[in-house]
Amino acid sequence: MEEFVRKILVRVGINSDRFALEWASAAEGPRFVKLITDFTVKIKSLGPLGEPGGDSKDELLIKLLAARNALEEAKLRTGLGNLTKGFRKEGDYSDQTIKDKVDDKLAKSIETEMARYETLIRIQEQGPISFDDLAEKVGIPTAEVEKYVNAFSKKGLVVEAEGQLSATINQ
Amino acid sequence: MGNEFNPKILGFMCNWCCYAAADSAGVARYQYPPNVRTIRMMCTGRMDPLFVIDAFCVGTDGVFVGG
Repeated sequence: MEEFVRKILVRVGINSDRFALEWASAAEGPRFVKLITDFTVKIKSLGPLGEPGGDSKDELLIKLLAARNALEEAKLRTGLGNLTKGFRKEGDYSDQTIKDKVDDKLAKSIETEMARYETLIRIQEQGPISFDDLAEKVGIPTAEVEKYVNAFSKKGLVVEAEGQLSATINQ
Repeated sequence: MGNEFNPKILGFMCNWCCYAAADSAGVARYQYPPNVRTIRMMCTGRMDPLFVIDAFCVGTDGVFVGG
């Protein structure tokens, strides 16, 4: 899960060091203190979320929202579930194997799912908007935007008028 | 107070491990930074990628998962 979460954070534009997964047993008070102290120092050096050099707060929120929607859907969740099943079968839990498998099996669907939801959210928040503007903002080719938009309009989520896309009201 | 940046960190802790470790650290009077807001869970196996994204959505600066 750690590698998967890091992948998503990077895609969102958040430094993956802001997420930590550590172990401390009930008897390891001092170790816990050390982990928390180190992590706090690290976050302090990274500064507040959304600053500086990265995207603005609003941009970050759009991407976070896209990630949220993508993670709620079955595609990524079953992907992750199946992946872990594979590890259990082979009994290989080394970091390298996990990293390779996530890169191999999930990286692509993370990319497409995030782009798909980002497209939809941008139409809802920033519409009416043209195909080209949308493609530029999401950072994908216009053909791909068209593909996603076709699916959305079939579901009745998006309407197109004179090349401008806007969200249907009441959804 | 001052102007120093005090990060908000969300800590998801396992009831049986890290949470107990935090407890024992407190009992032994170890000092550690007060930036972590703890959420106790019965097992970190319950952790979901969605929780992490949600945490960042509401403006935490870091997420610490302790198993």
